[in-house]
Amino acid sequence: MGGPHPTDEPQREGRLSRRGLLLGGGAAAGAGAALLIGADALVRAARPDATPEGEPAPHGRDVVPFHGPHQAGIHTPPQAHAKFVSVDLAKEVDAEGVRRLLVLLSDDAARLTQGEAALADSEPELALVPARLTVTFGFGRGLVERVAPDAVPSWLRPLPDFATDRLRSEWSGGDLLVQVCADDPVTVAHCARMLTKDVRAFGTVRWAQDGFRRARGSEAAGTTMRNLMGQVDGTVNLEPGTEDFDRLVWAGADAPAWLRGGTGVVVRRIAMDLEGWDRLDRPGREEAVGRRLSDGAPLTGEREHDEPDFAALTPLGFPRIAEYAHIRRARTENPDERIFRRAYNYDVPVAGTAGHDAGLLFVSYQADVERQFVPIQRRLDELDLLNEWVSPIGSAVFAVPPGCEEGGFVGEGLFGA
Amino acid sequence: MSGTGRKPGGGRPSRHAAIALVVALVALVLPAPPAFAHSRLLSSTPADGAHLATSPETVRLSFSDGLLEVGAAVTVLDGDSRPAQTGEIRIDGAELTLPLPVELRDGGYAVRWRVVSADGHPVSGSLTFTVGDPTASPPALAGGQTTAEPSASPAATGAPAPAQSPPPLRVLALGGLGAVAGVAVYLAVLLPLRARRPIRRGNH
Repeated sequence: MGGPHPTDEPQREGRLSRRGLLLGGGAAAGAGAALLIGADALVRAARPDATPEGEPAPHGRDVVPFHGPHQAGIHTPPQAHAKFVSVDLAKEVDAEGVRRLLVLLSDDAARLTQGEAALADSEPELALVPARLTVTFGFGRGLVERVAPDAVPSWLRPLPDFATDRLRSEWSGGDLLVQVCADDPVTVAHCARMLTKDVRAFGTVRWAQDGFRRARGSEAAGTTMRNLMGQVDGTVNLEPGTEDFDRLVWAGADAPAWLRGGTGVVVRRIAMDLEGWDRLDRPGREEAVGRRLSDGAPLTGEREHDEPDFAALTPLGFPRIAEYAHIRRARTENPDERIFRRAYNYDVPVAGTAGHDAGLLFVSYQADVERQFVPIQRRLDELDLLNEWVSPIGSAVFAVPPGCEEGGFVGEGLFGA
Repeated sequence: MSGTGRKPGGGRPSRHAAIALVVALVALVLPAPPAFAHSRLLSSTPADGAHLATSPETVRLSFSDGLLEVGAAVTVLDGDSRPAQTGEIRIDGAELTLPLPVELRDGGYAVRWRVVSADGHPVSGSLTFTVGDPTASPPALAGGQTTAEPSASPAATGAPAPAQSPPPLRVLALGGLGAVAGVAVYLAVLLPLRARRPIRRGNH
């Protein structure tokens, strides 16, 4: 229809229709696509729990039981974030005061770890993501002496002086340790705030130290952590659930009754001279430790968990794993001189050009600090090339009571002792 | 496949291969890590290969840079590879001295040494000398000066960075479906309307 004349009205109408048909169809296709994709995104956004295909499910609701024979946060697979808070009890707090404080703390810890708001929670929404939150309480000598002066374990005191120590009082000691661990730093901050609020009427915070590991999910579970010097740190370690762990970590019959099923914890702040470490090349770093940086395998082995061959020699006749190598010095022939390490990295922002304030929050659990931890540290103190780059600047020892049952509180055994 | 690019292995194979190739080439071409200032042995008394008439009282090693007190070890071996009696090593800056309290009998000797540079890097090596009889043969040792061999660095073994991810499959499928539906609606509803329009116009 329509004539050939270009100015003919019906004719223009017809040509427009053909172009319009294509344009309109394209626009309709685009609009349809946009509508469907947009609607899909909207629907997903409206469901906060919904997981995009192929993404791991959020683990913020994961919960670690608070009650039980042992306190959680020791044999719990290490969470990504930690805060250690040490409290000085006020002078006037007596045994009854300690009991009130422990009841309060245990109650709030039990709630928060299960994803419930604390009793007087000012930000209850922050409690809804426990992310495997654990709270672990440790008692310094000062606390135990106020309640049961006759039931203080012999090792519950500052560690002996070590030549390499550069201890500062602001990172050392304390009457009460509150260890807060979770896979989410917001959860850790909230929980620590709630618990330090509980403490306020009974004492003051002596020190607080934040630590971190790799984020949950960024490495396969069970991967040995790396410290900030890049070393695989903690290859040789007691393994929760084994007979050795139960025997060497949980306090047994030779401990005061209130402590049985508990343990002892050593918290040490180990500063790293990362600038000095930077000046050491890769082979030098590996020699200092005795392990390869790439995978943590001993210099005489192929895989991380290979047994080091301390008898192996270089072509020249020197030990392949040198006398001063960290893993040789840390090694013991005495199977009772072993500890369970559960360390965290720390890295505090430093303004200006002062470099880094970074290191390791060394945390170890052992039934008897004197018999298990001290001999190892003595050997490392005597000789360990790593001492050129690390120095302990904080140190504290606490007795960690066993767990409590529902309705009870952590440390209740102390009050019958 | 979710196509979110979380796995470095996912995505376009050819592009990944190209990136891997570039990474590998760069790793090959890159020079060795920057030269670190380890101590080198500058000289020794006795010197390497020296023929001495009488037993030396000490072995002295002079290095290019300072040494750590930690980790120095020096052994003097006689022709039968038995260690000679030695005193305690003294370190003074870049100088190491090893006293020989007992006279060495005539024969060939080898000294093997290991020190730790001030930067923490261990360096080792050996030297030989004879006492009395210049034709005596020292014990065989792996000679020269060595520093530890590095293990593979992550730059050489690391996986290539993941390439930009293609749009997720879900978005592609939904987009396609939406486009088809849009065209269908257009054909079914809008076309008849449009077809009627010129007629309406014609009526005016």
